[in-house]
Amino acid sequence: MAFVAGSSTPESRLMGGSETFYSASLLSAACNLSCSVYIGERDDPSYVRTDIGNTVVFAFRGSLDPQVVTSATTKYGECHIHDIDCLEWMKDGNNQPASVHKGAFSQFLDIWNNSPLQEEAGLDCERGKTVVFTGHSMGGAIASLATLCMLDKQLQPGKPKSIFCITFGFPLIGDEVVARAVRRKRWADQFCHVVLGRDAFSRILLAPCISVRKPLEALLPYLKRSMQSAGDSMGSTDTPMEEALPEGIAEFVGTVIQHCSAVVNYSSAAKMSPNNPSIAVVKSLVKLSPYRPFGHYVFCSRTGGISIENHFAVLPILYYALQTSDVNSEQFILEHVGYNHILPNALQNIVKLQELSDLPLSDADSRIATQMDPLGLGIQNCQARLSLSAAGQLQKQQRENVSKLEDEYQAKMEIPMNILEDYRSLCIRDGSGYVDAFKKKERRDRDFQANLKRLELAGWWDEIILNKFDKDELPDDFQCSEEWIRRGTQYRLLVEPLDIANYYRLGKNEDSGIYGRPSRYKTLQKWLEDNEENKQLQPPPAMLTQDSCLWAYVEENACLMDKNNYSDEKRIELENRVRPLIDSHGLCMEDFMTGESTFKMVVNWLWTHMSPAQQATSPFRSIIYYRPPTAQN
Amino acid sequence: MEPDSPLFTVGQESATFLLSCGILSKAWEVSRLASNSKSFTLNEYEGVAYVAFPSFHNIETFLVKERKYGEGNIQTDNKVFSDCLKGNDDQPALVHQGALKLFLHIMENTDFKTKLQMYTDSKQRKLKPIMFVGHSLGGVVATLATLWVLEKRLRQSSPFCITFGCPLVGDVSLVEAVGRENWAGNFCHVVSKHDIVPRMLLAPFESIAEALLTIFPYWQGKVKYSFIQDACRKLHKNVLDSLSKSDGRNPYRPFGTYMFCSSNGAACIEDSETVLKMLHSTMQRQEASSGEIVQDCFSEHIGYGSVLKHVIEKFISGRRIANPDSDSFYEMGISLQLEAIGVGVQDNPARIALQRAGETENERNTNVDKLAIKLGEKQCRMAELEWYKERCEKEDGIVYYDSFKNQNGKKDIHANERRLKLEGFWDEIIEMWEKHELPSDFESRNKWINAGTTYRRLVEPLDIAFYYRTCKGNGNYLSYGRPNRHKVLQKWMEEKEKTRSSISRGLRTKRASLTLDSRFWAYVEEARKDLENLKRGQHQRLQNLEKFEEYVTTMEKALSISSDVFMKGSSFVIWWEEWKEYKKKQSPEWSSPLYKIMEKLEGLRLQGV
Repeated sequence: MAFVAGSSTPESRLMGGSETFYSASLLSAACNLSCSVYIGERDDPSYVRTDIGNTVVFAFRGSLDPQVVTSATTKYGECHIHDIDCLEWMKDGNNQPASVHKGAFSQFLDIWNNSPLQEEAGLDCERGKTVVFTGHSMGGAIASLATLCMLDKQLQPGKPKSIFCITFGFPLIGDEVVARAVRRKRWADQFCHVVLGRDAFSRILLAPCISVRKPLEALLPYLKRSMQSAGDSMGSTDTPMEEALPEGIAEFVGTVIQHCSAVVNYSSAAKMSPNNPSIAVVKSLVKLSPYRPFGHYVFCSRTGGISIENHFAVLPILYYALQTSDVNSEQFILEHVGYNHILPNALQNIVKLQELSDLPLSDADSRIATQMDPLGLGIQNCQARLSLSAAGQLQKQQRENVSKLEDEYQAKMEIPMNILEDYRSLCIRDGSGYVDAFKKKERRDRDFQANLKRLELAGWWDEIILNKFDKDELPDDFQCSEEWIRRGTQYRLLVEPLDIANYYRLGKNEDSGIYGRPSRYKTLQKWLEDNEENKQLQPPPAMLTQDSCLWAYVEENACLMDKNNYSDEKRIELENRVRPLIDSHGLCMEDFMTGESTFKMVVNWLWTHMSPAQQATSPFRSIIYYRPPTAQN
Repeated sequence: MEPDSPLFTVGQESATFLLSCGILSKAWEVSRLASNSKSFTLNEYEGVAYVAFPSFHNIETFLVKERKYGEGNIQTDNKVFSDCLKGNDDQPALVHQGALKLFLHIMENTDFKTKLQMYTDSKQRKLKPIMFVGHSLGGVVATLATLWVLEKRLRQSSPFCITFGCPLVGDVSLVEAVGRENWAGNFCHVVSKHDIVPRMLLAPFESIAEALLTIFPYWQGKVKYSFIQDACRKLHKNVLDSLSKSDGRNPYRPFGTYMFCSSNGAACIEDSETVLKMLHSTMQRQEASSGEIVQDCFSEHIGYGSVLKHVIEKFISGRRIANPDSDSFYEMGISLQLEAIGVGVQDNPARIALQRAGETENERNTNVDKLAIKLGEKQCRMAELEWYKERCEKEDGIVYYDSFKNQNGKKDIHANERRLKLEGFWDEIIEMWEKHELPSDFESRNKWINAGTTYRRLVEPLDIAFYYRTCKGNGNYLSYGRPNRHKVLQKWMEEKEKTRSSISRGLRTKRASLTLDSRFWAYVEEARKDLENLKRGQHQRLQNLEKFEEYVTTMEKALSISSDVFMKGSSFVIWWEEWKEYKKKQSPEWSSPLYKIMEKLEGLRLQGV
């Protein structure tokens, strides 16, 4: 049973990113361990730790109680992630927490908080071992959540990720937010989900709880007994149990397929262009299952299988492989408990689907054809092939967009950025901060040129953020690219003050109130913040003021100053922005203190209105007593 | 140039989604339950309010005897529908008068409006989504009810409409109005392959009305098919005959998403012309003589329950028949769609129509994307002209209109270059729009209306200046010189203003930075000419001049004239001085609202404010 990572033969390498890792022998071993934890009388969530060479495998058992799987207050049994620090960073663009299946989540929390798992796995990591979390069915769900937590806890920049997750017949349990978070962190390689083509249980959470509750009340106990007694029939080939299956399987499978179809066809149709306008309206009227796949998948038939990394393609395969034509409906149930019988053979014949956009509609590569046919994805299933090609196209498009942006940045954006940097230095040389210069009533040609460059850059970043990023035309990890974060931050810190200056110069605040921040800046700032948490980037030296919004608070106070209308509230707002900047040396004095600076005037004016007690604790103190460094000879 | 095909089709995925999400089955169930109602039913299900109308109630009202096709103006005396439901040529939309009467009957004689209030009242904190559903004649009422809610803009989240076997309702003007407002996505019409009802209005109404009266009892389950066989044959023949003639005078056009169902599956089509073609194609392929097919045409109308069930089973099983042979994903998708709706891949006109529709839509989207990028570049030209305006005022103390008209300096020449570049850009947009190369709702997209309005207000004064500089006082810009682009852009803005709620349009508290009426300087030029002529004794000009003064007064009171107009020595101020002088000469005590305003402004100027 022992194996060594990296020693597998080329034929048995399954995955790309970690291709030396997920070998057929490892998957088989994990499968055996995952299934054997169910053997016996007990069915409470727990795990077993096994050493295999330098690898440690934690195999989880989850409860298949109908209460756990389908009872919930929400339509699909989902709940927000709560009460656990290492998963709470998963949020969507509006800062809403991610959702996961409540049954799986509570079982996981139980193990995580009440067992020595954290210590054991943590210790193994420290010893330099490779840690694999694995599980079958609900056990797989627990293993996935444990993996996410351990990755978050153990990961340090520069260190290789040595935590992996292998699941079998795992139902989807995390929503879009979880799936995106995994891709953003580039953790997809850490997950390998093995799913049998017709295992209906790996898709049940795509159906509303209520629609499957009744059949599951009969089916789940059957499956549980089947898993618990699997030891007796180890090695036998087909039915793991003599017991007859409960009634109503065909209807149950039909329900699952129908809901699977709703999710899959919606996601496919919504991503296409041009698309049907009714889709979006209907989507707002019906609540579809929130669960989405994350990580890599291996889909197996009895004779072989395919491995796939393109996340757009996983949902369609989950659906098209399940369609019932010419299949005995019992198979949809039995496959869920047949992993340890079927996989040892199937894993010998896995083909990797590389570039789906080139996936031929008439099969030239016979190896692919041989594995696609038994999964129901052969060329006779034209709809499925089109859907896979579309998935390939989406991914290809994302990749091409990134390289296009890369070229465009160098061709079009570097020059305006340089001009604005020069503008800033020229202004300082001539004795005023660039924001003050930009804002004054009498503009010179230089100020006007700066304005043109500001507009050019705004148009370009809006195109990236609003037209590409927000519309999913860039990969999820684009926002984690250090190069783009650097560019975005540089742009934001240099140019946003000019936007604010322009806003107040034109008196827009009198019409629309305080400066409304364009979403490009909000997004760019979020990119930086999301990434800083993990990378603990060294704060760059204060070449530019690190708070690009500061100027808006200065202007708000300046407006009051003009009317001699002092406000404690506005002063405190400004102080609260200034304080962290002073503490972190993030305030660029050159920009703010040169010449007849509005900032200087505002701070001086506020200072005169403050009581000595207020002055004593005010961050303005260091500005009031600031003396520019004398030029050194 | 080869048309740019989309990469994939979306018709089958859309249909499968609509079917599998359960909304259609629920809508059918609800409309069956409403069939015995006399007006409408309202039920909530999973947080959505379903309003259903009966299929065959009040049939006599539907059988109108107006015009050949039964069509008439959608705007009635009591103004249930506003005049925004009109074609691109401003012609009011026409709808089938029987359909309109059915809807008005429910509006006026039932508690429909009251019951609906709790779903449309914007004071409700969380509005539930609302869905109008109906089968057969109930479908036309549901369609009109949806239009009514959309058009009254009663709510933030828009209603959805699902019909089964619904006759056509409106004409091409209605299609254009729906396209302009981007409402097509709010309608889903389910049509079974043989069902005659969605096609019947393609025949002259007078030729089918009588037969319909006989057939309705069969659909209501009151008589057996054998009793009405002859009427069915006759109606079927009349419809087929007019399909083959298609004289082009039939007014009815489909709008919204059509979901065509057959024993092979289902697919969605949205393009109006293509849907019309499919309504033809699916019908024409039948051999008219076969009695069985005729019976299907009438029995399928009441069989949507099993139609839905069949197509759902179809995709659950995943069984497929044909395997289209093509190396283009797009063409293959088209083939699958044709197969699914039962037209067959051999039907070339249908295939071409479907293919073209996708290509056209794709082209429109591509065009608008390209224009958006160009618009970004043009923002810089706009900024340059803004700066030009500013420099004229600050450096030369002259309003940019006059400076441009005089063309004395280098910067005026540069400004002219910018003006021409922007002219080229907007002319291109208008031309594409007129040739239907842009999405149908382009003219109501805020982004473009706002961009166009800013352009017009900043640059039209320069166009006016250029006109009066070159025509040396012989022409009238407003009658002969105004470029089409400004007219069109102004119309887009005005139409949009009408749809915005009056609350959001508060009174201005600050003077506009650009004069809101971009034609202002042309009025000034004409007034100056009129004044010259008046002094020369043409007394009929007096009325024009008084009207102009009144116009300026109203504008100024609404703070919609920008401050540069009042700069010392501007064309407007010159006119004013002369007009004042003229008036004072007539009567020294002369005063007027504008006189007081101008005196006040002068006073402020002297104080240096």
